[in-house]
Amino acid sequence: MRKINTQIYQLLMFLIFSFLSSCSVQQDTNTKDSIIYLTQDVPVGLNNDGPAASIPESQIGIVNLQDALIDYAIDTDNIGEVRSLNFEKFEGRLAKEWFFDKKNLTWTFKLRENVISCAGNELTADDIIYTFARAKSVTGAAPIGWFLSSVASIKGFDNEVLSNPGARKLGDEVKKIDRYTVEIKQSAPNKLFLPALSTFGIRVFDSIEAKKNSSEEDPWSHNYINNISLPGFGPYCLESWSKGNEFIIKANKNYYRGEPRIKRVIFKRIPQSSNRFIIMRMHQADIAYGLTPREFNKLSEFNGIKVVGITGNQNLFLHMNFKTPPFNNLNIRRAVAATIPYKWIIKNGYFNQASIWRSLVPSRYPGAESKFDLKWNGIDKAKEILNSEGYFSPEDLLVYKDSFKLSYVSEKEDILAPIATAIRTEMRKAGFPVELDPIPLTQYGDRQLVKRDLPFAINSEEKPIVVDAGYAVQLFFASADAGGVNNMVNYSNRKVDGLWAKARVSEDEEERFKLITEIYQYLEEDIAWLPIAEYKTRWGAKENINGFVWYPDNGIRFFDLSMDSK
Amino acid sequence: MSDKKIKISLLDIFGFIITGAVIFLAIFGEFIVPYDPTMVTNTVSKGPPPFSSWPSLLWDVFVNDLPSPHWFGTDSSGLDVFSRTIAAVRTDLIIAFSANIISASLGVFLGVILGYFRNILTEALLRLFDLLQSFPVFITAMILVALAGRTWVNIILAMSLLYTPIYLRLTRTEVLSLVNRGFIYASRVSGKTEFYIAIRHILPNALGPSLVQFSITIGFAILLTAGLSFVGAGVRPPTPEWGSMIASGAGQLVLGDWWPSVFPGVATSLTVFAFAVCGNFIEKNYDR
Repeated sequence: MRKINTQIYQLLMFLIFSFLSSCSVQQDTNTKDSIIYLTQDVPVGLNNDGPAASIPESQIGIVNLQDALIDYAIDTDNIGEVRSLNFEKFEGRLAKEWFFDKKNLTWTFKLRENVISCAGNELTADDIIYTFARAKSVTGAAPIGWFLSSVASIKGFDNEVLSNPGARKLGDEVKKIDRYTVEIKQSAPNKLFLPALSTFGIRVFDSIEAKKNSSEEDPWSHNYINNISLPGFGPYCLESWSKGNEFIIKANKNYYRGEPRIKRVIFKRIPQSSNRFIIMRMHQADIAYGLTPREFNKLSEFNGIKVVGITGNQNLFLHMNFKTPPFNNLNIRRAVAATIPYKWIIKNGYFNQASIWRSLVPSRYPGAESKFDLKWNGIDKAKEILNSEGYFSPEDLLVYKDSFKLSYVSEKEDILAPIATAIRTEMRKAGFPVELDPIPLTQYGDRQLVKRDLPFAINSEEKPIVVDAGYAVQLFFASADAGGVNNMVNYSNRKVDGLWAKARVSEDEEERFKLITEIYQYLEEDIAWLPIAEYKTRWGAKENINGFVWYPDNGIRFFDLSMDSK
Repeated sequence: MSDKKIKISLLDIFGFIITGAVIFLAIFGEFIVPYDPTMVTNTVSKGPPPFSSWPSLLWDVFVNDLPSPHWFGTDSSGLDVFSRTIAAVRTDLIIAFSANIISASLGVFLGVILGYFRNILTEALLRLFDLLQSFPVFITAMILVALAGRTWVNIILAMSLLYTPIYLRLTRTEVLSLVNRGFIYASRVSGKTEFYIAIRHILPNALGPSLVQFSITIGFAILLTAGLSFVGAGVRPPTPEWGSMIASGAGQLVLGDWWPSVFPGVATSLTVFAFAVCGNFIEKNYDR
C-alpha cells in the first residue's frame, strides 16, 4: 500500500511540476545578479498616500524605490539568519546629520550632497519641502503621510487639516534653510518623531520628477505614482510594472550608499502559496514570501534552499467589538479568552514557528512593559463565567448568534482556517454558538477600518509600523475622538486616552515608559484585544542569497541582500 | 411501465447499490461516523493507515473497543476526513434534492400551464425562462449566492431557479405532443374545465421525461454544490461538504497530502455516476 501511495504521490507531483514548468516563471532565473521574488501580488500602487498604501506588497515597492531621511541602524550584536534593527540607534540615510533644538522644538536636518535620483536629479531641501507639502495636502485616498506627521507632532499637521482646506498648505513648520538644510518644527515634544520618519509613509520624493508628471487636476501626481512610477532617491529604479503580473526594479547606479549588489529584482505574482512553494522547490525562483508554516518547514528540507525567519511584529489576535453585544461585557470576553486553544494553535496552526503572545506589544518593541496574564483558562472556567452571567446552556446565547460569526480573511484561509476551526471547536464546547465566516480581504478591510462593524474576528494583519508601544496605543486603542484611526474594536477608555495624552508629550523617558505601561495594564484588564500568537516572519530563499534584515513593515530591502556566486 | 421485462445490467445494479448506500448514509451517516466532522482533533495532516492494517484496526475498534483510527486520515485542521466524507453526503444530497424538488415542481407545473394555455403572456414568460437558461449555470449560481449570501437556503434557491427552465422545457414539449390527443378531446367534450384537463390529464402524462431528468439533474446539482464550495461560494466551513473538502485539500497536494481531497473527490464521482446510471435505467425502461 505504501508503495502505491508513493507512486500516486509521484504521479501527482510529476503532473503538477510538468504543468508549472510550462508557466513563464523560469525566465531570467539564471541571469547573473538578477533574482526572482515570488509574492502573493506585485505592488498595486506606489503612492504612500494612495488607496493601496496599506497593502504590504505596495510598501515593499515604496521602500525599495524611495529612501527616508533617517533609519534604524542594523543591530550588529544580533547576527542571526535574519538580522534585526537596533531600535535605540538611528543613522542617517538622505540626511547625513540632524540636531534637535529642545527650546524651540525644532529639528534641523543636513542633507547629503550629490545624492542622485533615478531620474538624474540631485536631492535638495526642496524635495523635503515637497514631501511634507504633499503629505499636508491630504489629497491622496489615504493620507498616511499626514497621519504619520501628526503622530510625530509636526506643527500644523493636526486634525484641522482634515476639516479645513485652508490649513492644508505647508507653512514654515518645514522650512528650507539652504540648498541642503531643512528645519522641521514640532507642536509638542514627541518621542515618535524620529521613528515616524523612518517609515514607508514619509519617504522623500524626487520633487522635480514628480512635478513633471503632475497636471492641473492632479497637482501632487497621485495618478502617476499610483499607476506609472515613483520618483525617488532609493537604491532601486523602476524598470517595468505590469499590475497583477510583474514588477521589475533595477539597481540605481548612482545610489549614495553604493550600487546594490543585486542588480535586478523581478517580482512575480503567484497568488497561491502552494504554487509559490512548488516554484521554489523547482529552483525556478530565488526568494518566496507568504508560504504557510508547513510549506516553509517542508521547503527547508530541500537541497539548495533555506528558510530564514525572525519573530518580528507579526501576530494573531482575537478581535471582539466593544459596540456589539455581548462583547461589550467584560465577562463574556473573559469566557472567550478561557476557551482559546493556544497550544493547539502553536503546534498545529503554526507548526511550532510561533509562540504564545502574552502581551499586546510585539515583544521586539520598546516603549512599555506588557504582560497579558491569562487568569482565565479552560472550558470549565469559561462555562463558570457564562453561568455567572446567566447563560446556562448554548441556547441562551443563540440570541447573539450573529455576533459569534468568526470572520477571517479568506485569502489567508490556508493558515487561518485551521486556527479558526480550532477556536470554534473549543468555544462550542463551552456553549458559544460560533460559526465561521471567511470574507475577502477587501470586505474585511472595509468592515474593519471604515465601518468598524466586524463583531468577532481573528486578525493576523495588524502591525504597528512605528516601532513604539505608544504608537500602537495611538493607532489601535485611543478612542475615535482621541485619534485612534485604526481602533477596529471601538475600544474607548477615558483613562487610557488621558494617560496617552500625557505620555505622548512626555520628555522624560522613564515617565513615558511608566505611563504607557499603565495604559497596557488597562488594555489587558479590559481585554481590548485578545492576543494569541506571535509568529515568525519568514522567507524561503536559495542558499546563496544572504543578508536578510527584518524591518517593521516586513518588507525586504533588496539593497541588504547579496548573492554568492555558486 | 409496460409489460415488457425490465432489463437490469450489472452497471445498473452497481448504480443502485451506490445510490442506496448514499441515501442510507445521508439518513444514518451521523450515527456511524467515529468523530464529530466539524470538531478538530489533535492530529493534523495525518495520512490514512495502510489498507493492509485495516483488518487488525477494525478488530481493535469492534472487538477490543479501542478508539477508531482516522481511516481516511486528517486534514490540515485536524478534522477526520472519513467522518467528513460520510457527513458530507447529507449536505450535498439535501441541497441537490431540495433544489431539484423545488425546480421540478415549479418547472413541471409551469411547463403544463405554458404548454397548454398558449397566449402572449405565457409566451412572454417562456422567453423569460429561455433568457435565464441562456446564462452559464455555474457563473449565475455563483453570482446569485454571492449576492444573497452563503447560506443553505440561498444555495438551494439559486439552484432551483437555474434548474426550473430545464423541467419547464421538457414538460412543455411533452404537453405540446399531448394536447391534440384523443383523450384530451374526449375530456373536453365531456364538459371538463381546461384547468382540470391540464392538471388531471396532461400533467400525469407529461411527467415521464422529468422523472428521468430528475435523477440526472441530481448528479449535476451535486457537482454544482461541490463546484460552488470549491470556489468558496458554497456552504460555510467547517460544514462537511465534498467541494469545500476538495478545495481545502488541494493546497495540501504539493506537500504530499493526497487524502483530504482524493476521498471526497472519489465520493463525488461515484455518487454523480450512480445517479446518472439510475437516470439511464429509468430512461431505458420507461414506457413512453
